[in-house]
Amino acid sequence: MEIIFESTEEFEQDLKTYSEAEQSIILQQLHEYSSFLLTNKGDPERRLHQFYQFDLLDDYTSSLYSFIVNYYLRVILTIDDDPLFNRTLITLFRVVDSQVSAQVYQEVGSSIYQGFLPQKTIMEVKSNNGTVATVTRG
Amino acid sequence: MVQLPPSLVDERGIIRKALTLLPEQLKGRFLEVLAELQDESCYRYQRFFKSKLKRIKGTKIPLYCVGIDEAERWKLYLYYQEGKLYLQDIICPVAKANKDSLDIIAELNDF
Repeated sequence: MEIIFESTEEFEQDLKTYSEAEQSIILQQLHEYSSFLLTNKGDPERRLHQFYQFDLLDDYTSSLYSFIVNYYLRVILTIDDDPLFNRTLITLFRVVDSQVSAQVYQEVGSSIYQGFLPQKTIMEVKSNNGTVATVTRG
Repeated sequence: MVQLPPSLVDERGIIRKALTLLPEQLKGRFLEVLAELQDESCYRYQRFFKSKLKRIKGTKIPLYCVGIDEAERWKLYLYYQEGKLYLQDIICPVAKANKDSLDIIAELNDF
């Protein structure tokens, strides 16, 4: 099995906003984590966090995670086993400060899950404090 | 790597649904796509020229999508489990409620 990294333009743009030292830490931690996945030792989800499940997915379980780089940095990514091509795909969507990771996690999830089952639509429920809920309609 | 082509399982009647929904000119193409998904050489070389089989990102269960027409407006969804490919759904193009001029031009020119 091999691990393939893919990154979005948003991830590349986010990365550029950090210092060279921080960029190096982010990429190093991702690389170390992929080695950890390949050797399959310990608990691979120890450094991963899911803020919630998306209603858009129906019966599917989300593979979208917030990856803990260090105390103040998070990478929003998906980890997808791809048995037909004998690989695991890690797609890097965003890299953000930890205090905004929940909000960015929701934005990325809403974006990717809205696209792949097109008969669904999202309705956002707004309040004065921003989006408080998302409701799906079949 | 999957050496043998996985068995196709249609527990949800997706083939029947597809042959009901698809326009006449795409029914043959749909059968070609199914044939490719059972072609051992496609798995050996990991090339799916007709169906453009690809993994859907963001689901723990290995969910895949193939395009039935060239523009991939008609999509067939499948998931892989224990050596079998389960047909999950076929999605037809959704017409926009409010067509703009570009949509009308595209329809008239069939592209």
